[in-house]
Amino acid sequence: MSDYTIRLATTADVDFLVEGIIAAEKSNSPRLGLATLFGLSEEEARMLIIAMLMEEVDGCEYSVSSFLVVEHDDRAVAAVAGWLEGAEDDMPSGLLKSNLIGFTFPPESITLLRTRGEVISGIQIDREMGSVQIEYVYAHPDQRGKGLAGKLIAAHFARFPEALKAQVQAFSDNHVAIGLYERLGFRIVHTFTSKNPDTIHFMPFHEKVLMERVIDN
Amino acid sequence: MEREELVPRIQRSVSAVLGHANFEMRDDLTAADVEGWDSLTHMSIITGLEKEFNVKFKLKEINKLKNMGSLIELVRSKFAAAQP
Repeated sequence: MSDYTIRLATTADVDFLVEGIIAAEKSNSPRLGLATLFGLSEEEARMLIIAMLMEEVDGCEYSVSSFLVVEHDDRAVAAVAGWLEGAEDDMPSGLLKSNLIGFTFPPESITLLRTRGEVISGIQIDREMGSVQIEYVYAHPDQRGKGLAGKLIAAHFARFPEALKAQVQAFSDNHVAIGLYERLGFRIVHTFTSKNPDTIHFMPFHEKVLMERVIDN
Repeated sequence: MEREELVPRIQRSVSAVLGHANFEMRDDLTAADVEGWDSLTHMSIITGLEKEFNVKFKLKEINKLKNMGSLIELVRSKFAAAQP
């Protein structure tokens, strides 16, 4: 790890962050919810994710300031988002994310989402105020198996010494991610299943798990 | 527009998105207090209010909305500023 450095992300990392966001959102499936739910191509969704990140809103998963990256040979090779839920004026990150999407995405896409809300309502998970939220855990394929994700998650815990709990979400069929989180001390506390038969046409899977662990900084 | 006129219009607009009016327009009301006001409906509530009052919110403005009181005040100020 000597030539691997953990640092806060900057807007110069946006292309790599978007690569990680899309990979994590797709969760080993061909379906990117940010594209399918809004009637967009993956490339259009990619550009809109960049636009959201460049707004530099703090306190949600589309905040550059939420990301820590691992740098190696002068390039970002792993990234994880983490933030303290509600730290921004007690605003739930879900509403900040909604504001960003509403502000950035085309109006016709927002209208389309209204008709598709039922598709994802069953797997929308509320985040606990005051907890550390971990999202978009990603390492470049040639850097996997080196423990970078675990080091980034631990570094996020250290950023928020006042927090007592951390939460992470994963699609139930993503056994690699769930296994990683279990090795890092997370346990499944709830499973959320969509009963809408169309969910699987828009999202990677119809079921998500909420995992938690105590933080003992 | 006076607050007494504004508040019922905001309530109707929010109710139209949520499909119910089971909430009081208290200043300290938050999204978490209202059934169905989640990240999905929030987007429609904001765009619905923009349409209803023919105003456009800035991202920074809506990210600072703590409760119904701050939402009413934002709509009031934007609406007043938009009048000739």
